[in-house]
Amino acid sequence: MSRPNQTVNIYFDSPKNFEASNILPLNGIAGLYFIFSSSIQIQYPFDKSRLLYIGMSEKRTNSIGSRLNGHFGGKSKNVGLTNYRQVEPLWFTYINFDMLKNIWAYRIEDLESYFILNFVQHFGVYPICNNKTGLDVMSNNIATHFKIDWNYFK
Amino acid sequence: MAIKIKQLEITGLRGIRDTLSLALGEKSVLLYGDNGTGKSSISDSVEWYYTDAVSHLSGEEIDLKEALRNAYFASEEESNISVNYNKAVINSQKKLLTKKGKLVSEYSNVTTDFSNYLESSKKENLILRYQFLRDFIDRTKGDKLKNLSDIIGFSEVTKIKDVLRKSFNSLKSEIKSQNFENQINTQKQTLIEKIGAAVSQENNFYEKINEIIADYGTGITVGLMEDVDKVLLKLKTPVTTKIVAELRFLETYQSSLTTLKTEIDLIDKEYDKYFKEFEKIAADVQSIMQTYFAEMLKSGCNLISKKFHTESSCPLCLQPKDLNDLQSEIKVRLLEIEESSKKKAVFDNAKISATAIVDERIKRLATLGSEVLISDTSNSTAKNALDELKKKMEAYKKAISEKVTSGNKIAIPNSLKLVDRDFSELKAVLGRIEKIKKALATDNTTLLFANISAAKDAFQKIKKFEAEREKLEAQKKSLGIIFDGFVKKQKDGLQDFIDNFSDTINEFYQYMNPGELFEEIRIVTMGEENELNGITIEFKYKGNWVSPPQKYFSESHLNCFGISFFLASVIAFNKENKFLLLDDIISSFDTNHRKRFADLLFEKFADYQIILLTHEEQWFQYVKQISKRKGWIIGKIKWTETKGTHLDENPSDLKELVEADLTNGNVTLLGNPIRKYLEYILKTICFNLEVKLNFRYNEVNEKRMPDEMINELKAKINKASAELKLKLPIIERLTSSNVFGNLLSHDNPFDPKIGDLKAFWNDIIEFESVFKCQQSTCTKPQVSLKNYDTVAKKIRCGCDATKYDWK
Repeated sequence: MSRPNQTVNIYFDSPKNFEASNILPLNGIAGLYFIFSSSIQIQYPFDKSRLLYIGMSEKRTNSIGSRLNGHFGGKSKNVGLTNYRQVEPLWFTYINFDMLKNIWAYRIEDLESYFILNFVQHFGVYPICNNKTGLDVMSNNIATHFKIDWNYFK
Repeated sequence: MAIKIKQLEITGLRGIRDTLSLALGEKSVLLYGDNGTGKSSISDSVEWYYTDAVSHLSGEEIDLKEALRNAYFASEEESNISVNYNKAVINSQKKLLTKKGKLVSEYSNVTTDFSNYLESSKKENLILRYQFLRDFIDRTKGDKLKNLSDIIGFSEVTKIKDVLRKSFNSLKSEIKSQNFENQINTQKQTLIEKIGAAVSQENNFYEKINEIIADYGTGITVGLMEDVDKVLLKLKTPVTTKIVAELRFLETYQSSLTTLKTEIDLIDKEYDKYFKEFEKIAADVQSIMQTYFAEMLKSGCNLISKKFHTESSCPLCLQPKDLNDLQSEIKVRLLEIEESSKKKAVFDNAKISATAIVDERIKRLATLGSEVLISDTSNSTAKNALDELKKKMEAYKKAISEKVTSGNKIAIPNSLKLVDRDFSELKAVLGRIEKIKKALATDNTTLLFANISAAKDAFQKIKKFEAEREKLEAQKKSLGIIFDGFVKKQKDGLQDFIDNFSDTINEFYQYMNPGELFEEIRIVTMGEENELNGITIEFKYKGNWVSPPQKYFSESHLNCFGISFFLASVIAFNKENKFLLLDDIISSFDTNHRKRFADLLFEKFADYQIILLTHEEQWFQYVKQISKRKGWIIGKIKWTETKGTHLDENPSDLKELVEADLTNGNVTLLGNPIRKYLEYILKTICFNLEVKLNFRYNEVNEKRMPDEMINELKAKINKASAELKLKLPIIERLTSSNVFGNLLSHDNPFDPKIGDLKAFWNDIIEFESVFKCQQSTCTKPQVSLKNYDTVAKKIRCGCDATKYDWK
């Protein structure tokens, strides 16, 4: 049912506890990952969400596994994630880029931009732990649009 | 009650053929035996009795039970070891016998008392061998840990750890070879294609299906998988069935091949790894062949050390060879083989991993090949393409199955690699799929049916893969936790032992090394946090801590350390048993250390029952002096072909030995055994007939010899027995023999002829038979005053068949 100028629903897999044993199997996987709080809801301008961070691994050698590990071990120096983890358990989920390669003709970086901007549209600002600024604004002329299940993070 | 041994009996185990009986009565025992006489047969048997294993015989290629059996033992004979203790309720025999053609072992004591005793004994350190200490010296820190672990009885722990690690690794490789992530992605792609959504959770799936069917007026709200079936049933028409079946087959074909295509790198990477290891090993195939010789070499070494083979030749090829040289060469080769075994293990792992990955793909292609529609003529090219792919995977399989020792080359990675061309059929299949979809585009209901049906299928596959992955990941996680916990416990246990007993170890060590520069020694475990990578020894040398120990330690120092470690572990762990078996542990000690070790044993372990085995004659003599004073039992172990390992010769052995040598014409070494035998029978006769001899000082003690006893015996017979007087000619014949004269002294030069010796020996036997009943049923064959018939006034044997007048 996917066609040019289609809209594809993105639902997320079951959440996983943000801990080493769940991160390790994700070595070698490229795509997006989402770190969220297990119960604290962040009051964003337009809506509440437990989502804290949207991240990306652009290649298999620096995979989702190693990126998550960087956050887990504190190497990424993301103070927000570290502090949230101190007060309550965090969860994460991810999207394997291979799944979308038939319908997304652009780079993973572009996919990340799409997701973050979509988040901004829905919630009014970037996820609270994404320090990143100056994102490329994606053209609206892309072939596939996503309807992202942000309710997942409610 | 601290357990000590009263009686130890071994029959038909290792070098022991006839029964070897040690009546210990809770006393310590010192046993001397030359190399190859079978000292270790005793320690092997005891180790087997307690642990059901013999550490130096462990190895996949040795069948322990067969190795334990005495080589001369017939299959119907029963080998066994019996141990009687100072606590009779735990007395038991462990038997090795053939049942239904198989060697089995069993204990005679099946009580709870005994099984509890056995269980607690397994935790104790009862045996120390020289081998442990020798192996310890030149090992790496990791191996040193293993050796010390063995000494303090951690070997079982290490075995369990290996089993855990293997299970953990096999789960890891199973997850890797299944490549779940890839399979799930393929199905998610199908879901995006069919229903425009990436879903993996039920509620999301139902939500999306409800959204799709909203305009079709099915009147069904999907909330369960059965509801999806109801929707499908409602949409299904006879026309759709065939088209949808074809579409589903083509899509299955397409997704299977697409998945395989994405796995080219994975397969190739694994094969490449395997190929490199194969090349390495194939280039040095000799070293790998060697690993197969290990057991044969060990057997050869055993044949020599146990003196089953005594000729100056190789026991295997029978080429002339000095046995000492041969033993040294074998030891060097065995060390080399150990290196080769490590290389082979890396190769084996690469092989296992590549095999699992390729097998999984072959299995998946076979599943696709079993689809009913593949046999349809319209799918013949698709079938051919599939067969070609199967052949390519089989080619991988063939290369991976090649024996590395065959000398054959295997295909280089690039020649096997799957390429785009192998998947060219995909284009045709995609074209056919598009064509069907186009036809379906005008028939919304059929298209909807096809999409929901395929989506359901894909979703269920995702759930199946997720469940399998979750199960394996959970198992891996549990095993990981168990493994880490296990290593931590092991480290803690070892650390506890070291913390609590380092003073004792140091005390024992300093006792054996007084006044030396190594002021203090200590053991250090290595490895971050919960890891346990190894162990090393540090010692204070001129005020500084120094490591590794080899820097200044001699072999004796290291052995002292190993012994101190073991003895401290005895104090730490042995709660049930109060006995120890020490098998040849001072072999590489210098004289000073040997003496100090003996002193240490007598001083610090006086309340233990010690079974001390040695082949060091001088040390034996030294320890013997102290042992006598301490009330130890002292014995010598011998080995002969007929009897195997046995305790020192008794007269009947001497008789056999003399007769065998006479038959074989071995004259030169016969003097002493004949002298000893003659002395023995004369002493027996004189004792039985109360022939009195005068006291002699040591300087003339050599006169307490056959001629002296015979003269007194003749005098006594002349006075007491008319019947025995008739036998005096045989005694005269004996004493007038020129051989008899030469046999009087230990030191006499001796050059008899074989004929003289035979005649003389026959006289001895005839002489013996005068005073010994020849009836086989007679239980007290010696003619003795103890059996004096007071009515008939006769001395006699126990059965009354042999008797003489006596007054």
